[in-house]
Amino acid sequence: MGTLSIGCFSSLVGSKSLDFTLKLAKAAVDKGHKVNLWLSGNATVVGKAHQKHLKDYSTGEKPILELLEKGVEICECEACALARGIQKPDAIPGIQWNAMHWYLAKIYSSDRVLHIGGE
Amino acid sequence: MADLKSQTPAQVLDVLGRVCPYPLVLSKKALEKLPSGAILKILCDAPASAEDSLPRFAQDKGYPCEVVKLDNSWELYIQKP
Amino acid sequence: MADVKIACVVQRPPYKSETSTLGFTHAISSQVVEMLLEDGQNVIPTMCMVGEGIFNLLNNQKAMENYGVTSIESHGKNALLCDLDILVCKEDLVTFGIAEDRLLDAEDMGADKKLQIVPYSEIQKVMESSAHLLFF
Repeated sequence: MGTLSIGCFSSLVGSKSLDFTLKLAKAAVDKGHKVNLWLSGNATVVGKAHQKHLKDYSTGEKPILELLEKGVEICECEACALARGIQKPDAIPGIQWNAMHWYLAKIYSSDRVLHIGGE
Repeated sequence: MADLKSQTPAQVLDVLGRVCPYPLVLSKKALEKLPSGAILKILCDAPASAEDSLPRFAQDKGYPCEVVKLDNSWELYIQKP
Repeated sequence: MADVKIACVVQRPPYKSETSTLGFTHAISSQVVEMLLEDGQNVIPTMCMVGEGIFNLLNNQKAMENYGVTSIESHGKNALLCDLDILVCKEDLVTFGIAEDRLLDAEDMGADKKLQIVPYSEIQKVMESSAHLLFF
């Protein structure tokens, strides 16, 4: 089994790139791969807790909690989150907060890297 | 251990308002230019940098480091051995 | 495994989104990634500016004056100061009619590195020899 690192830069309810990222991460971890997920730029909003799941729109909190439960390492870019007014106490428990060298360090030991989104 | 914050720093690096990667990269560059024994004082308000990456960098290098928490920012004192 | 090479391919134009800025800052963060790795390990990025991405490299940007944010020119200068390789697609400069003297440099900051204007074939080689590609 391999290690997949995904850097996601796309926002919730902005495009389907974020939804795709979360589904892909789940598919990979269900196959037994190690998965790391870096949330940066607009993707940091999905790390905020207490999201309301509206049937007509994409949702992130539940899939994120499922991924954390399955052992996926998820890290939020602190700078991008703070710039958007998201404070650490607001974050979904279990999500790490770090700087972008976390992503590069995960890239170092990854078999595959997918860099998804960004407007 | 010497009380770094009570000594006069050779340089004050203001990275207030800057976020990763700049607090650490600029600190690293500043330390490279300082002579042995000099103290770099860093003004920083990015939590990940002030509480994690800067102290960790100093520890990895074996540089004495002190961190002072202020209201909304930090002062870090790193000495080049 | 010692170093892992990555290519940060920047295609998006400046200021329309923060994507190209993130390209620069991610590459610059390679300066400090070693503290999260074992001794002797490192990630080495090469920035490849292609298509509309070359507009990020124009000099005399006024983002701080007009928007109160660090200009992408400043990020580019910092990248050169950190000795990162920034390859610029020669064909795209010609396509967009951008003269080389309209591009940034970091000599005033004491940088040794300059932008490298190369044919696309050289950028292709870098992409092919990189372990991972990150598109911004």
